[in-house]
Amino acid sequence: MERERLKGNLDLLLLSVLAAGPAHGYAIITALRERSEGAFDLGEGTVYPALHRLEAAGLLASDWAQVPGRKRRVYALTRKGAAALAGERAQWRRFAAGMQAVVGWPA
Amino acid sequence: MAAVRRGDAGSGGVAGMTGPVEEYLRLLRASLRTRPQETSRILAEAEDHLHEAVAAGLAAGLTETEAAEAAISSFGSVRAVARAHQTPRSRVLAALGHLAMAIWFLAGTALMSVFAVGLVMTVVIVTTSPPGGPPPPDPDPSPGQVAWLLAACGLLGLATLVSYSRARRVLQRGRGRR
Repeated sequence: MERERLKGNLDLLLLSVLAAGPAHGYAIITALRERSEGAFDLGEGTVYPALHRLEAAGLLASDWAQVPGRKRRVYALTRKGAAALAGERAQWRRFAAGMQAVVGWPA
Repeated sequence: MAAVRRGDAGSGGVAGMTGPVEEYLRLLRASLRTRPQETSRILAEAEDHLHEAVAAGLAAGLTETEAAEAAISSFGSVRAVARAHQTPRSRVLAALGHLAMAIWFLAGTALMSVFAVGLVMTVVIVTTSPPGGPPPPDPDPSPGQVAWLLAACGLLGLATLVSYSRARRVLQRGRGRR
């Protein structure tokens, strides 16, 4: 999977993972890798700036949680984030359907 | 919350927090060009992430060193992570800072060069002029003015280079503390 194409869709992917419920960075990245069956394997440290950016845009909210010996930042989808995700999903479905119609799958 | 539970499963393995991870976090702290509050948050998240990744590696049967190295490799190079956290504003500020420091250094070097060249030329003129010969007719600027100019260039150049060196050390210490 080309990294640039993945980066272009990272916001949608992160919002989609968080639609299942609040999670911290490691869990989000692990879920992304597992749900994509290993296809979406980003430089893990570079996902955090995207989470921060989505939070700054009001699409995510986050708070510290305490785990033994350290702090953990847990992210959750906001109402605005859920609305943005719905819009992005609809756009993605239209785009994917268009691509599928033109490119198709090999027989 | 399933994702959180999955991530928590391995967080008991704190024993995996070995030297390489600590060194990575130290280097990341020194490389980040973010505000102190952001830096703390970035480092706390990186530490939590690396703990989790090391614990997962240990659970998968890796040694502590292997688990730490795998965790760091997956997280990304210090350079890549620090760059990813740069905002357009911090990029501009960092570039302006580098430019100011370069100008500071060049100014000091130029002043010291003027001083050195002037000193060499003075020595050459003094040593090559015939002893007891007639003095040159009313030179402009006078030798006294030239001496003052050279001394001023030398002192100013020295002060500029010393202050540059101190400023650089302070900046490096500040980055290390964040």
